[in-house]
Amino acid sequence: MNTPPLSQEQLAAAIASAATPSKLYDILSPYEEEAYLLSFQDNRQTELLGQFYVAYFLSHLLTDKIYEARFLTKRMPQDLLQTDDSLQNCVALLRAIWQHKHESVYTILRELPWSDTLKPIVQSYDTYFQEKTLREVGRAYETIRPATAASYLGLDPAATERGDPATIVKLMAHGWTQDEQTGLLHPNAILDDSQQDAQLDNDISEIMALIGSRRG
Amino acid sequence: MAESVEHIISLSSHLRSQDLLSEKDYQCRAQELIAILRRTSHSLLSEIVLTDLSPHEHTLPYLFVLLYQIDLARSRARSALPDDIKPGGRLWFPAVQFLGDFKGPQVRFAGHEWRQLVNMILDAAEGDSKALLAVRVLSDAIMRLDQNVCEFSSLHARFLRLCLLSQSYSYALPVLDRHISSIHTSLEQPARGGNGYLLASNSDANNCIVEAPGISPRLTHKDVAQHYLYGAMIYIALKEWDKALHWLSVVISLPVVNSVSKVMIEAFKKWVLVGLLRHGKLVTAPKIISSHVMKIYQAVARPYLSLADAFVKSDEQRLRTEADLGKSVWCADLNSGLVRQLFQAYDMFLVLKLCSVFSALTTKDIAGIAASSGLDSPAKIENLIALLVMSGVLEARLLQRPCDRSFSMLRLPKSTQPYYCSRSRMRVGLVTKSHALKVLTYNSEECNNELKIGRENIDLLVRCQGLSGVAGKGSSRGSIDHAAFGVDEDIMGDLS
Repeated sequence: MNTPPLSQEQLAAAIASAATPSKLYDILSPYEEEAYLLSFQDNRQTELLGQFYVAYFLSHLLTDKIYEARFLTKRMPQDLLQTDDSLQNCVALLRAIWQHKHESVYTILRELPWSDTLKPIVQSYDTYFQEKTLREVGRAYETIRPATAASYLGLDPAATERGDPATIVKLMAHGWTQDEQTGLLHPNAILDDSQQDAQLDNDISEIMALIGSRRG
Repeated sequence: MAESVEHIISLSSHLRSQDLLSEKDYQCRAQELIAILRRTSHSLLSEIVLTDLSPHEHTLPYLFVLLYQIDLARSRARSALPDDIKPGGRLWFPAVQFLGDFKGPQVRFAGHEWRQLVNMILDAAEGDSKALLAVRVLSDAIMRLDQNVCEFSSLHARFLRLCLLSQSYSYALPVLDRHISSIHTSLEQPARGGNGYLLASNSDANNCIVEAPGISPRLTHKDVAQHYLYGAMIYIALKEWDKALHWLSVVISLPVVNSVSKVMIEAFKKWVLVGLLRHGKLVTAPKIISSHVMKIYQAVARPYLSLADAFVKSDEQRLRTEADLGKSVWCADLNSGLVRQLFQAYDMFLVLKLCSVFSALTTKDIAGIAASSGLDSPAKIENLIALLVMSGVLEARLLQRPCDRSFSMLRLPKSTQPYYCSRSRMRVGLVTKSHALKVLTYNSEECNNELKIGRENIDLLVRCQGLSGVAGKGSSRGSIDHAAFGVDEDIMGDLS
């Protein structure tokens, strides 16, 4: 209730000032009701509403809230969704993510038109999606052909196939290695959550203490 | 004392310093203020300007003035839902502001009025087809009112329905994820103090709402069943299958006398489908369900059970036939979405079954086995496996080959098992379970105290028995009459 009213300036400031994706989500989330109410006004600011919903939608993706992002597209004013190009891009993006079509995801993010206000978040999501995929590919593959890795990571598979070293260099910077004989890449194993073991131990201790206190 | 605006505000101001007052004093003052507000004339309430009050500092006067203004708007417009009350209307914002800022301990003394306001918000949002606008307001209000005890009320089901209507499923989670641990029945009479005022429960400062007898809406079997069904539907939307299954199993296990309610039948149908989506098989029904109820379920949900049978037997052709035959049934039951998801789950479980048997496979091998389900090429299989591993469902490693691109190798480490055993999931599970355990132990302790079998009572009893033993050695005069205590060591013995 104490948030300043939704405006272009407010939205731009929120996008610029949010230090982390979850902060961006937290800043934009309280505006959903206001934006929804504004959408029923006769002289509604279509551009502002469109930009708000796109930014809010992307903040869902940036925080891995895929289902909520889907529901947001159902909750937002449907006439706005049908007419706003950026929101249509969002729907296409969500579909590509859901269907695990990595190449389409990068195409939508990089080649479809996005407004200047939204470009920083779109770029953030591009980076986020690439890094997330890098971790996931590392978990799924023990050996992978460079072209396959390139298509997963939004790099140029055709150029990689032809021997362009850009993909290899980028991946080796992340600790991947290449078998010189076969040309196959060996992803860096990332599964190491030993840091969280202490927390796990604490959780178990708490439960055991609780059970212990109930005995007898 | 003559009632005046100043007097009301002064009494309300005293309640602000809750920490300085004893609990009894606080209750008396709150009850006194409510009694005054309830008998205050409309002319006096109309003298108070809402914008001059803060809902946090003057919760009770704000609530009564707001309700008075709502009544006024209704009588002026001669409508139960005038424009002033509708979302965006003149009184909508003060109501929303109040529900986001009120003081829970004060409102628990004015449960009837609070519920009136909440129902107004629910009716206005639903009546104006803007359910979304009320969802988070009500979620916050429910949490603010009832921070610890988690009492079930008829409001819960209405709130969840609103979440379903507005497709704001995740906004329901703060309320949904808390374990209900108290149900106020119409048989319970709230405690009264010496002055005749209702007393709030003394177990917690933020305890449940106190209702005057007769005013509290009576909870019915349907309220409880609907609440759990709606909750399950929200978890289904969020694909939290375990929680959905649990909530559905609560509905299908509800006690019945003769007939089974429609809500329970709907829950059973969803329970069959969710079980398949989560475990790839028909899950075992809770033992608490009596056989005659189970027979009714099986009779009315026959198409679902045939579909499940085809799924479990990995008969893809029959699964498609059953799904086609039952199309009208799934549509009528609003289960088409769940049935559609069965086909994705079918492929997933097919691969998972193979992975549980072998320690290494090629995508060509899997394609040969799964050809009938449309996964006929090694490339499709590789994509599916990569997806399963990336989403954490399966722990395996794919090995692409340098020259032969027609297939890849899949290695399944023996020590790793799919899905259930990953550390992070286990950690989340542990934290959730520990929270549930805390709620359970807290409430069992409350129960023990109510039944006089709490630790203190037992200690007292033991001390008394000890004394009697000592006394018995010397004299029989001091012996304690055990029958007077009436405590049987195995109080459930005669039931086993």
